[in-house]
Amino acid sequence: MHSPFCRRRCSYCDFAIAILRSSSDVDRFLDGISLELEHFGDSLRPRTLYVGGGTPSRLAPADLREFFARLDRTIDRRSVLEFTVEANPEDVTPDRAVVLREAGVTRVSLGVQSLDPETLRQLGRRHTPEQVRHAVTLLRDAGIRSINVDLIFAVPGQTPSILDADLTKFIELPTHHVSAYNLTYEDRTPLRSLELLGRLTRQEPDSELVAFRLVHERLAEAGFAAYEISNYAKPGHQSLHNLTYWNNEEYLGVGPSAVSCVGHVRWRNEPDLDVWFSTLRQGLRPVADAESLAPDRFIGESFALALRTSRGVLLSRLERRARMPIDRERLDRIVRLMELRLLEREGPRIRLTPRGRELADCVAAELI
Amino acid sequence: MTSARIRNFCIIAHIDHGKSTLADRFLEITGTVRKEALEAQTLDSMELEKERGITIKAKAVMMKYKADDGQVYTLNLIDTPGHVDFSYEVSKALQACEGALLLVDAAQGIEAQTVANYHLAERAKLRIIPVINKIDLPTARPELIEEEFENILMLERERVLRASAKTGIGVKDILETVVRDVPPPTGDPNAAMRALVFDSVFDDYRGVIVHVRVFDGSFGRGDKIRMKGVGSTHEVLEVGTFVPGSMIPRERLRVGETGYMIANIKTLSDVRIGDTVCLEKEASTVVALPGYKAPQHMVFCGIYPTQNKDFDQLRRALEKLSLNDASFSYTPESSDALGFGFRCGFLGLLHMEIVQERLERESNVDIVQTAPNVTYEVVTTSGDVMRIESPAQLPDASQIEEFREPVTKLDIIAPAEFVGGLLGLAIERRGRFLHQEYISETRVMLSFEMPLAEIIFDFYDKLKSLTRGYGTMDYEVIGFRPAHLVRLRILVSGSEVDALSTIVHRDVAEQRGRKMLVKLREEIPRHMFEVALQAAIGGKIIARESIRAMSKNVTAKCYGGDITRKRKLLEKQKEGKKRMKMVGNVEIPQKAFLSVLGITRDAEK
Ligand SMILES: Nc1nc2c(ncn2[C@@H]2O[C@H](COP(=O)(O)OP(=O)(O)O)[C@@H](O)[C@H]2O)c(=O)[nH]1
Ligand code: SF4
Ligand SMILES: [Mg+2]
Repeated sequence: MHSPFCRRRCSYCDFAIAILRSSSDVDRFLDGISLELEHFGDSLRPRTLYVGGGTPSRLAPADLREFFARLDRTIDRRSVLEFTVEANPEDVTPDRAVVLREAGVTRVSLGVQSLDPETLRQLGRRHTPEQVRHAVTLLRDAGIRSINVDLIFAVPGQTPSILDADLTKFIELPTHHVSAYNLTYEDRTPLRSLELLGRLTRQEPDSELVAFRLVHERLAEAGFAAYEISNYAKPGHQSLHNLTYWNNEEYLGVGPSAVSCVGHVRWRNEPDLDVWFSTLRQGLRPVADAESLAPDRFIGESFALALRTSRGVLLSRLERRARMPIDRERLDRIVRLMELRLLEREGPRIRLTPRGRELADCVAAELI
Repeated sequence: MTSARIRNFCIIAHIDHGKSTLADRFLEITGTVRKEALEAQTLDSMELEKERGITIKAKAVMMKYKADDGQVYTLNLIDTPGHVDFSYEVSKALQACEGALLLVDAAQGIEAQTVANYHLAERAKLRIIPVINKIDLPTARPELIEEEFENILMLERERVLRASAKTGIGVKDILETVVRDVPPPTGDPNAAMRALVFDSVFDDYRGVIVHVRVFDGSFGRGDKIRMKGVGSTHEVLEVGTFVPGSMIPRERLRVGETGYMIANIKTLSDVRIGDTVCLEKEASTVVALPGYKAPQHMVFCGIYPTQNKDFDQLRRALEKLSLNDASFSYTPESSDALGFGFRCGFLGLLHMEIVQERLERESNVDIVQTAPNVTYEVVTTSGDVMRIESPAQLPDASQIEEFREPVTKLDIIAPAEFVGGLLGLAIERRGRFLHQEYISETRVMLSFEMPLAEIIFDFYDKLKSLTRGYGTMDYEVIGFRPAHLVRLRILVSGSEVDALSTIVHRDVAEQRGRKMLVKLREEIPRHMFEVALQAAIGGKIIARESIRAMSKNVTAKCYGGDITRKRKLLEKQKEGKKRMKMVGNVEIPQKAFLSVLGITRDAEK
């Protein structure tokens, strides 16, 4: 589920978001969600639910409660094993914590990014480290089972020692999951503009590597195992929802710009809140673009995704799902990548070596 | 008209010393062309020639001159190419004359090319008339130039004329001297016809127009002629003489005369400069005129289209160019690195530049030109002599008995203060000092023997910068000499890159190899693994570099299942790789080859 509202755009963000201006925006969003869910009948039985954005936590407690209520009209919640909601630390109030708990949310993902004030400023985030600690305490007290914190590294000016200190603070937080991302410079973001203006310099690949390794080491020491290139979890806290994406399995998305993938067809919703809503009002599906995944493309994509996980790819399973054997050329490339010690065999599975993880995109480009 | 009142002569001069301007004055004085109609420098018709100030193709014009003795003379002025790359063509043009004006700029003095062309004229036994031009210049120093004539060419001071082609001073004197001193053509009007082919041009409408000088007998329309060297037979459609801008048909060309012949010849390759034209019926008995040689290509380079799809267009452009210039050759070749292109042979470095420039100007193809190489000779262990025009033709080292390279006699004229630096440069370039001569108090002529390969490798630029632009040079290939040459191999991750191998002297192999590796290191992107770059001679590694493995290439997750966008990025990354050349495990971008092999040239530029 995609809730598009944000207070303002963070410097690195290129998501389709809407700045929340009036309550009528919220009404349209809620009505739109209802309309969209109606398309799918009244008995969806997902294994996981994920409310992201945007910032779902921007919704007022009452609106949030209303949002969850509308989901319940269509979704059979008995099948749900994991229910995640994204939140910004500054939005986590006692009221909202209660709403989350009452809705049966099992997991909250906090957009922390850093606990260093200067780094937060660089990223255009508005919260303080104190707000983060407070949010974590509130969520734990509300009985949320699993808490994720997002972390961004290789920010301009972030030396290894600044990052190291930041990691120490992350590890001290009583959380269960860390998503750690290398900062990216997307087109049409404030960050990219500043770079183009020469007002900031991105880190060299060599220092990005140092940061990547530091994050990996420190989190591993603290008991967070990397089950995916950017995702670290304490035992029993891997995100089932995200594993769905990496395993290229089926999912339904609702809300502006949400992506769905069902039966080798993938589509993406209209990103603009108004277009999305008016399309739904006309009784139409708000699809902006769709593509059908031919077996070869499906295989390529599956490699790119599943190799990111620590379990890797089970070739026989992939062939079964693609209904096609893996071609000679890809197999040759796999052998070559194994010779280069970027891929390795683990039982019947193929997975990235530690060095392969650092070059995962190159490996993916070979097999896509 | 008898041949006693014909004078065939040419002007030899260094570039810019005033040859074209003087020719214009002659045309004006003789009334061949009215002053107003006299487009500046009439003899240089090609656009390119005008721009570069170089006369590429020899031309001939006929002028009628009423001399002080009251007689009307026919003066044939034959224009010669100004550069020794064309020395064979120059020598043939000279062979068509009995006299030569040796023109020297009063401010610049004698230059290296002047000396070279003087020696050619002397060898052709021409009557030489030394002329100091541009005496109107405030910087003119004719006494000094006379001294140079005396010292370096052993011409008596008293014979040196002074003139200004610009103002006309002294120009009539020159013509009078030509009439008086240049001998009329000899030859037997009744003997079997013999004419020398000294040039040819291609005309879109009329086919090949052959420039000839008749040495014996006469011929005209309807005659069946034979090219003695090439062996082809043609029927003469028209003969005539040139005036600037047009051709005047005549019944016949007679002994001693210079003119043109049109004989329905389709391509320039059917005509060889230096060949002898005779009548078909007398062909078996006529003795050919001396000195006929096929053009010798001393410099080669690869010319490739930057886009593979432009190959055919490039071929058409080369075909067209060769219609106008029979002295360059092109044969298709393919390179692992650059795809399909042509290996082109040239008379020399300047010739190569001229052809490239025309190619860019007259075709619309972006081309890549590889660094030039010279022609080598290899004597194999079985005793055969092979000509090597490309490193790829080189046999295995074990089959090479002797490796030879073309060696030149190089003359440099420069102010004396630069002698030390020039000697240093020459030694660096494997030059062997021959002698040094003061041509005046301040200027020196240095002579060396130097491998041609060293000259084509930016020698001229070095000479110019070393002498602050005052030095001039000229060279002539004098033969092939054994040398310690090796094939320098470039290996990337242990695999040889054929397209990058070169032939170099053993002494500079390390230095050359290292330079190439450094360039490669800059142009090959970092890989998932460390890439080793090596330069080797046979199995021996003489230089190495390495490209560090890429440090990190992994981005954030694909948010919210938006995998399509991520996949497209990866697919783009993969596409980019397809355009690269795989050598073993390593992807080498085309740009890397270009930066190592030579230079890109843009058709639009
Ligand atoms: N002052 C002066 N300039 C001259 C004279 N003759 C030629 N020039 C100039 O010298 C330059 C080169 O002359 P050009 O005839 O093109 O030389 P070419 O390269 O030998 O054909 C031109 O700018 C001419 O105008 C002369 O007698 N006096
Ligand atoms: S809160 Fe999240 S979605 Fe909103 S602007 Fe920031 S990064 Fe983008
Ligand atoms: Mg000229």
